[in-house]
Amino acid sequence: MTRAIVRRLYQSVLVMFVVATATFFLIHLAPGDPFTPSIESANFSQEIVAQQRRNFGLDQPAHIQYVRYLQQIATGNFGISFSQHRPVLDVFYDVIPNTIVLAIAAILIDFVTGMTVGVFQSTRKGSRVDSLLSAISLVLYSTPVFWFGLMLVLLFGVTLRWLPTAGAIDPVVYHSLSLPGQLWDRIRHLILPAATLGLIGAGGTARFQRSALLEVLAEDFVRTARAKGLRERTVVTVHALRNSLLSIITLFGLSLPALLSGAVLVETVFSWPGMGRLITDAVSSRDYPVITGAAIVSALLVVAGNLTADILYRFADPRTRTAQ
Amino acid sequence: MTKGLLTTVLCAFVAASCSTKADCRGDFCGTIVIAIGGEPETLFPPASQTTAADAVADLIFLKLADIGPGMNSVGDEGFLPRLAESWEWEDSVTLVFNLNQLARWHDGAPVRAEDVEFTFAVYTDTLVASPKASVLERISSVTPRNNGQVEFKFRLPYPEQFYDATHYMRILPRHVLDTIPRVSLTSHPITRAPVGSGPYRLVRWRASEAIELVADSNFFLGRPGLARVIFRVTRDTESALAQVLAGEADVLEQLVTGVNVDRISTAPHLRTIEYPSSSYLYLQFNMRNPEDPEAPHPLFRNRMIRRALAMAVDQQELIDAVLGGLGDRTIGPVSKMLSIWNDQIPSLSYDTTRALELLNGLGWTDTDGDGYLDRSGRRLEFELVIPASSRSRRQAAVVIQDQLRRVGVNMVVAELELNTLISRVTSGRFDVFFGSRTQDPSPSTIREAWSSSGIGGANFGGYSSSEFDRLINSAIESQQADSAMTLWHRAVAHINADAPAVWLYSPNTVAAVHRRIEGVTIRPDQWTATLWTWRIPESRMIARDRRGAP
Repeated sequence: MTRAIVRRLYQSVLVMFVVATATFFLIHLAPGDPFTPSIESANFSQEIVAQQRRNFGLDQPAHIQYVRYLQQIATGNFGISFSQHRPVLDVFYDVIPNTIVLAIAAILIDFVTGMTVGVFQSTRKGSRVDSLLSAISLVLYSTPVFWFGLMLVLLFGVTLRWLPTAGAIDPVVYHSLSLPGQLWDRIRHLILPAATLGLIGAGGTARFQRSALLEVLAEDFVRTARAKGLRERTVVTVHALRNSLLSIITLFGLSLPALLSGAVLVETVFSWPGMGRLITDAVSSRDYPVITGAAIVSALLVVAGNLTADILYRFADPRTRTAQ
Repeated sequence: MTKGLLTTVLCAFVAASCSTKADCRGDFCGTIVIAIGGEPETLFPPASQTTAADAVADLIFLKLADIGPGMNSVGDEGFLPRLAESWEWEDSVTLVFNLNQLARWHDGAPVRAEDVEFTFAVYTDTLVASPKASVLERISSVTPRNNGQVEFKFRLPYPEQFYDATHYMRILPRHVLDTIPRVSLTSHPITRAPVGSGPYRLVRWRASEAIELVADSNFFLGRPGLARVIFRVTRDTESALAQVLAGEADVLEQLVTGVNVDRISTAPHLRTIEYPSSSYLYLQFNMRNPEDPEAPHPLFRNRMIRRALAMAVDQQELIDAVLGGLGDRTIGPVSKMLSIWNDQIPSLSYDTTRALELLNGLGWTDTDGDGYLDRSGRRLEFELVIPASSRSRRQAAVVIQDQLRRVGVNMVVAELELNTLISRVTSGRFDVFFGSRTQDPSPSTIREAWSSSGIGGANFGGYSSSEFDRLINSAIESQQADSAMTLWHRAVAHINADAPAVWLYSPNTVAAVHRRIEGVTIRPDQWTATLWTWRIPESRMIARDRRGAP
């Protein structure tokens, strides 16, 4: 297994190179310039724009910029952000932890809720509860994430005032709180955005889990297990559930990039200081170093997600181990 | 057992979250949270380009003098002393400022004349590439003298010398920045941990989240009324609105739409404050052919077509439909903030009958009965380019499209991604551009946007009129305030008659402010400029005003 993981890591380096190259040229081909002044202001000095371009090396031909860029990222240096005037790594350092925390919380809500509901439904196939939960999961799955987020904000933030509406912390009190207090403050701020992302994902996960488990429950080995006199709970949770996990693990591998893209809207609705907002801002301001750096980091997270899924496959299904 | 443990842990968290480290008393304790629409890109004033950066920087840094509430940019009348306690003119090109001897940097060092000299050098250094460098070109030198005096020399005398000397430069601490190479000054860590001389100093900056300022209780112009000011980065207006409605934020500077104003009006803890806007919106005609910039535009080279289109647009209907009535009909390229604003200046009024007569007179008639005017087999139509990111402009474009359809003109709306739009507009590849322009207090910025000297720069449509150029240059150079005002009004009337654009509206800005805050005044060009005089009386303070106060 170790050899397989090492091979995947080598492949991921190639993926990184392709992503870095494609992003570099795509963003340079896109219309617009990072230093074009606002067309809404009259102070429009071409000399200053030219000087700013010189300061950041944008006056050089694209291939020279590309070589310099590859040299930089090979040493772990993503350059200086055009719009924030500081190293891109510092920019990432500030936002990536928030994105990871949100993604982990959302994945937990997504899979714990979704799998529980899916298993519950599949053991009561055709009942009223099954129909009701199917309807709810379908509605959740098709609800626009920003609308769902806004509704949660209006209900729990503005009307009931149970939970904060925005941010990852309360800037008024956070720094005067003790460590447990700071942790509690972070949890309170995490609940609504994580619930928004997680519950919408749970709608899909529940439907996947239900159909996967129903398929497995119809197989011969389940009949054998029942014939052996095992309790139904043991049949479902020990024998059938494990065999239905393969499709859920695939879904897990795919959900990480989906969470990152979905987080853009959630981060906007909840003013969450994460990668999604950073990337949208960077794209609109043509902040080349941040865009290319973010693409590499996003690709890394996707590769990590797929690698995790692969490892989980090997645990869940012994056949994948012997196939190596 | 497990349930009990969980309850204990939860209670510990809740109790811990209620703990405070300070309990401030008195009239200078208030803490306000401001939902700010963008994050400053830097707190190094020479490099700042956004209103968010200027809003925060204005509390940390000071200028030599500030423009007064009358927004007069001519001469030095009405300007308020800041780092300079007084000034005198030695001759028409020599201005000497006397620095306030009590002024201190946040690290305790006194503010010196050398700091002013250093500031000018940084702003005008090509390595720094400050966007403000071009507006300082008419200052030839800044030289320190003895006894806290600093001398400004100008290349020539003109009415806005004082404004140029004071408005654009926030004075920087030489002793902190002098050792940093100029080329790396804008990206140096010190630019995110600035040392200023203003009423507030930076405590912490949580990137993408919040910026916390604390009052300098020894501020030489008087103790700031609020102990803490926290800017919370909130790019989405809905999110910002939710924060003020939920009581998490105290100030939202722009409510943007009438619907939002109505929502705020229903909240008992909030009030709204309306103040003039520094921007105006317009439809700019391209005078040049988008396919061949050397040739005139096939439609808009004709002044009568431009006038007819201007008369076909009902500005009031737009203001009601898009802004919920929160705006004023624009009188030329002038925002309501400018001192030259006067709604008596002649302009083309809404008159669809006259518009249709003009178009018919040019041979544009509806020959095929399809509801659109045509001539020689060609329909009267053009493309309007707008930024897809602007919801209000998208709404307004639909209303204008309908208004023009009523006189038989087909306007096709193209919603473009902002960078694509900028690329097309700056290269002249458009018929009509739906623009918005934000102005400085000085009306002289009209010259860059609409006179011949702005062609190739901010005059995207390429409008050129020698009479308008003459009037505007005379107004800018006039030493007499009254005659300058007359010249400005004549210039605006002239451009209105020429109709290089359809002037639409100047939106009124409406802010939401928590009712416990007193003394709220807002300067239209820089809404945080007077924030240090706001206060919260002790009797009205809420928990936020005491918790965590320094």
